[in-house]
Amino acid sequence: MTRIALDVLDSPKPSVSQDLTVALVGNPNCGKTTLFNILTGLRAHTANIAGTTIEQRVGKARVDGHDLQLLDLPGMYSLSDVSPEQKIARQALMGEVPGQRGPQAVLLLLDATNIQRNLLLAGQVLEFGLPTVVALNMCDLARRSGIKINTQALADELGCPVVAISARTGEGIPELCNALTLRLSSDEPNALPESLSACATCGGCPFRARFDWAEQVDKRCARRPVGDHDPRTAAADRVLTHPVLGIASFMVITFVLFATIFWLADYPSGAIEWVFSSLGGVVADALPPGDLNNLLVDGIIGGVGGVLVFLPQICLLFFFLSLLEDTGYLARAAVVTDRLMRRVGLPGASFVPLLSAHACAIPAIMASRVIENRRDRLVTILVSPLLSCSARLPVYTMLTALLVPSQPIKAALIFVGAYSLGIAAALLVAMALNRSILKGKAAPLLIELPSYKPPNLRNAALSMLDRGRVFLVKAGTVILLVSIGLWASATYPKSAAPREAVTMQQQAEQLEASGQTDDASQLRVQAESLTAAHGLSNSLAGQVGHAIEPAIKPLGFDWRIGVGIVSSFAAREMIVSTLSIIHGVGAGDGGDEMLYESMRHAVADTGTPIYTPATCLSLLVFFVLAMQCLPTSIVARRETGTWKWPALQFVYMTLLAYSAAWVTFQVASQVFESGAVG
Amino acid sequence: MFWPSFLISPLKALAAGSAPAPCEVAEGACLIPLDKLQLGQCGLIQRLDLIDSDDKRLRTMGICPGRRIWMVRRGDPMVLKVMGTRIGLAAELAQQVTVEVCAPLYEGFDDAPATRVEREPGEPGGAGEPERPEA
Repeated sequence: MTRIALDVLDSPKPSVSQDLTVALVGNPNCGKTTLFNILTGLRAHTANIAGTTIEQRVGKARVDGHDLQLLDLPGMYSLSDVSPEQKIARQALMGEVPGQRGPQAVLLLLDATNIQRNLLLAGQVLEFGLPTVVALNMCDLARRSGIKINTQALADELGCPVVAISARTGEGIPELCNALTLRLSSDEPNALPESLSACATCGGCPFRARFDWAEQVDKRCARRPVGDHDPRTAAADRVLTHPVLGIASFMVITFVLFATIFWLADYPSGAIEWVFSSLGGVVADALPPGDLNNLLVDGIIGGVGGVLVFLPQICLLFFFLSLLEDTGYLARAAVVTDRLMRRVGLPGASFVPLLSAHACAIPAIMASRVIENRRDRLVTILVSPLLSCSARLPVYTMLTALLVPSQPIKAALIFVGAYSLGIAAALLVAMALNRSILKGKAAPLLIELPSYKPPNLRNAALSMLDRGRVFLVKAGTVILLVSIGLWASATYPKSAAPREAVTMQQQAEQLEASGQTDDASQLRVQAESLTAAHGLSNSLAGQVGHAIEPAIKPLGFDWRIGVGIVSSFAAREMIVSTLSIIHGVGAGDGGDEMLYESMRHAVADTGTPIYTPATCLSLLVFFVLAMQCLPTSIVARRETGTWKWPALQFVYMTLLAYSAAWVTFQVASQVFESGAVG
Repeated sequence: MFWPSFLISPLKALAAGSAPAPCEVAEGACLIPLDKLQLGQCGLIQRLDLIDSDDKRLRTMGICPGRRIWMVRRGDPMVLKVMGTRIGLAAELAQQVTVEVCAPLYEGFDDAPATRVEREPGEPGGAGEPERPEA
């Protein structure tokens, strides 16, 4: 074996210096994340590669007393430019990404249970000539299935050190660190194997020559038993990829997943709600009444609580998705759902993000990264907010209570109808997008089905922390700012108390003087509610509500609902609390039932009821379809890289919601007027 | 026709698999599209007729001329095994891949020919001295 010095790259590394960057490169599903988490622990962060929406994780790893910068590049099968992700990974490896220094060494991770296919990438990485150390991962699983790999022979074939490890159990990690230090302290270039250098120059199909090389290397270094070396995966796949049983198992698994998430999230969410409402109460009592008190209680404490209440659900969703991904099941889910999804022009891989959208569109949009093809990913992001998220539940509950009070079966039917409308709209819009601006069809399925493995709790926990942080930083700050902004617009400009309220207060004083304190305080509360409703009506938000009234009149909405719609941009459930202020039902006294009661009896200035069945139905349709969520837009902007797509999303959803609500109101008014439905 | 075909196509997929696919005979070899491979049958990949991006996607996953590929589950999408890995593949891509049917049916669809196990690593035409694999 000859050693070929590469003069293309200069390697100035006489000793291990402090600021060395090592790139972690490997196939998808080879345990890269697990190894990265072991080496860096919590000292890692996720960042976008400059100028792209593609993420990489960077962390400090302590290797034999030296701090190394470890760069976790996206998993890839080869260095050829197939997906934008692989293109960026290759550029990062070569140091071509602007504003980011290229790595000085490569830690190449190979899957011992699947060495042949992994060697394709190994060959390409070795040709770069950066100092490389190969970690042969999953050697515990390989051993268990009877695969034997001669690491010394493999090291000779590849011309670089090879260490057998298991990132899952921690086996071989100290040896790997040793090998890495040793390799970094010498400036000797890699000895490019002769067999491989022949590959690089040969004509014809470059992959074919490389696979032939990989097969030869595999033949010389590995032995495996006759027959399938992973009978358990084969057995599980007989059920889980079955055309009928596979769909059934998928439904069961996702049902259990979401039921668990909603069930578990209830406890921390309830606790968070309780903590913030008590905190609000304490602050409200401690401070003298006034603007500062209001800002702290309604604007800041209410806003922070409103953000945090969604956090448990999002964290749990990512925790369980990471567990499922680790086991290898998500790839099977993509296979069984592909047939259904392709009919509407979406790939099977978009099923899980769209399902997550029923919890919240924000994690759904973040989870759409698993979709390789950009067109498919954009369609998925654009339709996700149409699916009914949990923030719409309070709105549906309120409207159902108005439409069919105390009729559980009819109420359940309305809920089913709202969810179905969202799903139908998402599928139809996806189809329409395929035929118009995002022409084309879903990329035909091609996905690796990795061997089933026990999930890794550490990976899941870290992924949960990471995603939770992204939600808090990116969406949380926006929700908070919008809440404060909305509070301000609902408070200012201030107006004097209405004449009735002033008279009521005077009456209360007289009653108090005559000793009737109970009646007096009742009158006071009424006066305060009236003042609050009057203040909101004259505030900026109220003025906006009045201003948009002509536009929303055809939908059956008056200015009060207009204010609710405006306020719901922070989070959809805000319309409920806004309407309670408008209708003079103070927060905390009497609860939702009192709000529904006062809404049922609410009349407009002309004396006609405001919340007629037609208006309620129209508002329900509007909330199913409208993009009433600023944080979602922010996250969509982050994931697509431009404002163009969130803007399009907002426009098409608003138009859709407006026209659908208009049709609903017109039809429903005719039906209810003619008395066909009592 | 959304639901009927959704219900029927899995049944069709189940029913398929009995009739052997007719093959185009070239120089004594039986050439068929990849999706026509029978369950458990092996094919030697001959040719890919795909647009560039799909072509690269398939090749990097090991669906590349010269590789052996096994049918693990028929249907759309089908499950194949190539280079020791299971792969889910849409029929519309598989139709554009031509394979030569290989006669032997290996146990468990493993792509390692049974004879290879008998050889010691390093022995046949390998570089360096023959070495015993690690225990």
